[in-house]
Amino acid sequence: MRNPIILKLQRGAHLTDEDCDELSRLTADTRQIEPRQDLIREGDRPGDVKVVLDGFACRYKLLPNGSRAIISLLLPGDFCDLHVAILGEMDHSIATLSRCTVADIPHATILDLLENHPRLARALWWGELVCESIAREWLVSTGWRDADHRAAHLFCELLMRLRVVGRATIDSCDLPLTQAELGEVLALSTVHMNRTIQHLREKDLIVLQDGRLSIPDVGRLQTFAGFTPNYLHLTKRTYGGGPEGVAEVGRD
Amino acid sequence: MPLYFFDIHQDGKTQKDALGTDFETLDEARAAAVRFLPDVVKEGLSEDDDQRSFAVLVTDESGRPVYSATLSFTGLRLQR
Repeated sequence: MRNPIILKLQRGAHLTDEDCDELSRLTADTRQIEPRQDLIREGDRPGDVKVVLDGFACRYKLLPNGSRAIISLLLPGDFCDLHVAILGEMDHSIATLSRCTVADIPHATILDLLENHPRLARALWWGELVCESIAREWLVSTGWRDADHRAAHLFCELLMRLRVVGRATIDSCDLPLTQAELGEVLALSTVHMNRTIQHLREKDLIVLQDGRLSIPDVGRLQTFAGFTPNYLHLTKRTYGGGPEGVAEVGRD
Repeated sequence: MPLYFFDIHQDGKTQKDALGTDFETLDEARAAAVRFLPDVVKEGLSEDDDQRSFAVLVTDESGRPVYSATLSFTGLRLQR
């Protein structure tokens, strides 16, 4: 299976073979982490930058009543905490949801890359900008979409993001999250999350079973959710013109 | 952990909970119902409704009702 970092960053930047080799080298030092383990907590000053190579992790914050707000999902190919190379301190926590394979990249290596490898630096920057774009879309979802549409939109997004990194077929993927965890992502109580999934099932929009999400008609789910993939920025920008080519991963 | 079912009754229509959710205690299930019902009402009310009634009925695994809660909405035009 191809390195998900390469598959993802190629969407945002022209990477040479040397760039790809460098990325493979950077992410060669990996470890396995059990499900539901904290990788780092709010307030920590990390040394290494972490990248998810396999599995699902999340960014979260804890609320005073003990609930957990999951603010983003980290999928294969996602950097967990690249920004701390510059910000210096974690303003949120990161934990695994499923078992994960994580690569650790020394802080100094990242700084060297940013200073001496402009193409890779640009690719990493693109990746961070897409993270922000996804966060903006989630802001709209959590504030403005009702539960059914919010969940449908998330499923559309996850399927597409996982397809980019070779972790999904055209209409299905692993989704090893419990309903409680999905509720923490979507800001829905467990009962409400449960009912939302039932609604989407009854409408034949999703099949969610044994940690696997299948979508009978992706176009129909995307229409229901009002999902357009523009915010994932899967087409490269060209200078003097519009986006280069058409996203391979689009409306089915 | 015992399973509890949360059926929604809305103006005479019932949406049965086919899946249920685990809770350790009845108190937790009750707290979940209290959180859940306003969310249902918020999504269920449309602008041209003047009178709506929403209820949640919580039953245990044997189908026995263990908790119920109601929220009613009444709107009244005061000027034509």
